[in-house]
This record gives sequence, C-alpha cells and structure tokens, in this order.
Amino acid sequence: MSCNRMEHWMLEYLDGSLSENHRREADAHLETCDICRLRVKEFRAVSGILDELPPVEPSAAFDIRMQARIAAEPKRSSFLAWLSPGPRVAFAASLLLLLVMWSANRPTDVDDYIGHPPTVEEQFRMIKDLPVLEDYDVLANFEPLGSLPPAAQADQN
Amino acid sequence: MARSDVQLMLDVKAGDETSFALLLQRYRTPLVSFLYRMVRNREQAEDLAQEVFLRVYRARKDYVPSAKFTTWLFRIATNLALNSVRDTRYQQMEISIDQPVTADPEDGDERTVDVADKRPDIEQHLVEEARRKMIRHAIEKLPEKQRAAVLLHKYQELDYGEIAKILQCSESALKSLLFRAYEALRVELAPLVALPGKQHG
Repeated sequence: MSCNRMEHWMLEYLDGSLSENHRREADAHLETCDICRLRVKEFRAVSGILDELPPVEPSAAFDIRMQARIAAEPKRSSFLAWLSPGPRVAFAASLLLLLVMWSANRPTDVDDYIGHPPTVEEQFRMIKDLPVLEDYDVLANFEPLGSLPPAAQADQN
Repeated sequence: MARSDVQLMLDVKAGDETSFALLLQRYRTPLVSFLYRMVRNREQAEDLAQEVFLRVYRARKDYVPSAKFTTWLFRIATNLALNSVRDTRYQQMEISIDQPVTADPEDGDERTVDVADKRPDIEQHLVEEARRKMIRHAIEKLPEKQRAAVLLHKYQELDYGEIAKILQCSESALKSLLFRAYEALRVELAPLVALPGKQHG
C-alpha cells in the first residue's frame, strides 16, 4: 500500500470508521512506514487537543430574541382557517356579489330591445314621458326664480 | 424515548410548536459553537444561528425527510457562515489596509476563571486558557472550507457522507480536505503536541 492511500484513510483510521479489510491493510502499512506511523500518532494528538475546546453556549439574550422572532413569524393556519378566507379572496367575493346584485336589480328595458327594436313612435313616447323633461317644465315655470335680480346688475356693483 | 430530529420536524410540520422548541433546545449550542468558530464573533454567530432556525421554521410546511436533519441544518449554517466570512473579509480589506487588527475582542470570551478560585486553580486555568487560545487561533487560521470540515467532523461528529453533502463536494475530496486541515493543525499545534494537556493522554 502507498503512503498516498494511507493519507486518504488517515482520518477514518483514527475515527475507527475504516472497514475491517482496509484497517488491516493500513495496519500492515504502518508496520513498515515510519513516516505514516508518526503522522498517525501526531494526528491522534491533534484530535485530542481539539477536544479541549469547550462548546460555546448561546447568551441568555439568544433565547429571548429567538422566541420573539419565532413568535413574529406568520403562524400555521388551523383546520378551521379555510372558513375565514384571506383579504384578497374576500374582496373578490364581495365584488362578485355586488355585480350579481346590480345586474339583478337594474332596469330590464334594455333587454327588451333585443329581438324587436323600438319604432320611431315608441321612441318619441319614451322621450316625452321621461321624468327629467317633466322636471324641466316645472323648473322653467318656477315663479320664485323670476323674482331674482338680473345677473347684469350684480356685475356692475 | 426521545423523538428523532426527523420526527420532531414532521411534528412541527403538522403544527406542533413545542417540537420546534425541542429542536431549538437540541441544536442551539452546537449551532452557535459552529458558527462562532466560523465567523469569530459572538453577536454575529448568534444572529446567524437565529437565521438558520428561522429558515428551518419557515420551511416546515414543505419539509420532506429526504436527508438527515443535521445535514440540512448545517448546510444552511455553513452557507450562511461562508457568505458572512467572505463579506467580512471584503469589508476588512476595504477599511483596514493601514490599520492592522491587533486586539482580538473574542479572546477571553470563553474564560471561566472564578475569582473565588484558589491560586493553583487559577494557574491551571491560565494554562488551559493559553492552550485554548492557541487551539482557537489554529482553527481560525485554516481556510474556511477546511475549517468547516474540521468543525463538522470533530465537534458535530457528522459522518463523511453528511459533511460532503454540506460542503457540496465528493467524499474523496472531503477526506483530502480534512487531511490537509489536520496537517496544518499539526504544524500550528506542534508546541501542544509535544506538551500534552491535562485532558488528553
């Protein structure tokens, strides 16, 4: 076995995670190679030295902040959540409802034109009967309006 | 019997908040330790650890136990740490070309000297502290990918397959990465290798 292969197996050899066959091969190599044997010894020492470093405990503020940040996250919806739709869905549904109500209540005379368009006589009668024209007649003959001073006099003052 | 990480995460997915608290409890120290050794700043390490947990929490609905939980957790942590280290190095290059950093604000962070200790204990503490400082600095000097590999292998005791996935390299590449890291550590820690400490024989 070459030293290169031993290098490749070195960490697993130290871990004890090398397969039985490979470990035997490695042991046989170490019997004959002083350089690799020394390296195994030194790597083992390094590994032991690294064990001296203790874990770093999080500060007390860590847990408080962590809890606050998790609490600020949007929570998972419960099984009843589908009964209360999101705002966008609610808005769209309201709009649809309004549209349906409006089209149900609007005057249906427009629909009457479909099929048979009104004759000239019918159109004339319709215009004659429009309430706004009646109102115009009332307004045009409204007496109190006649007692107002003429607009030209106001301009001269 | 304690629930496995995957089971806890599946419970979190099902809406159980207390399972997330258990995962948090289980991994807060390993994660902060790992990130602290990576970024060398406690505040930043804690911020990053929180970011890792938040990402896990946010991904709970889509969680599928396709890999080990630790692989997923430390992959997020490693990516955040590597990005942070690179950003910090860039900032330091920009602001302190003629201002070398002489003080190490982290030294003494792990000091556990109790003022009520007896004198021989203080002496022992000082020796241990000096050794720890040397170890910390040796780890710090490693290139960040080697450093991550050593930390995940040595302190998190993840297997080679997991670490390779975390570092996005082949297992073979990981083994040579670790070998080079140990070679560098062997040189840096030579004085300690020659002088064994109390805890290792």
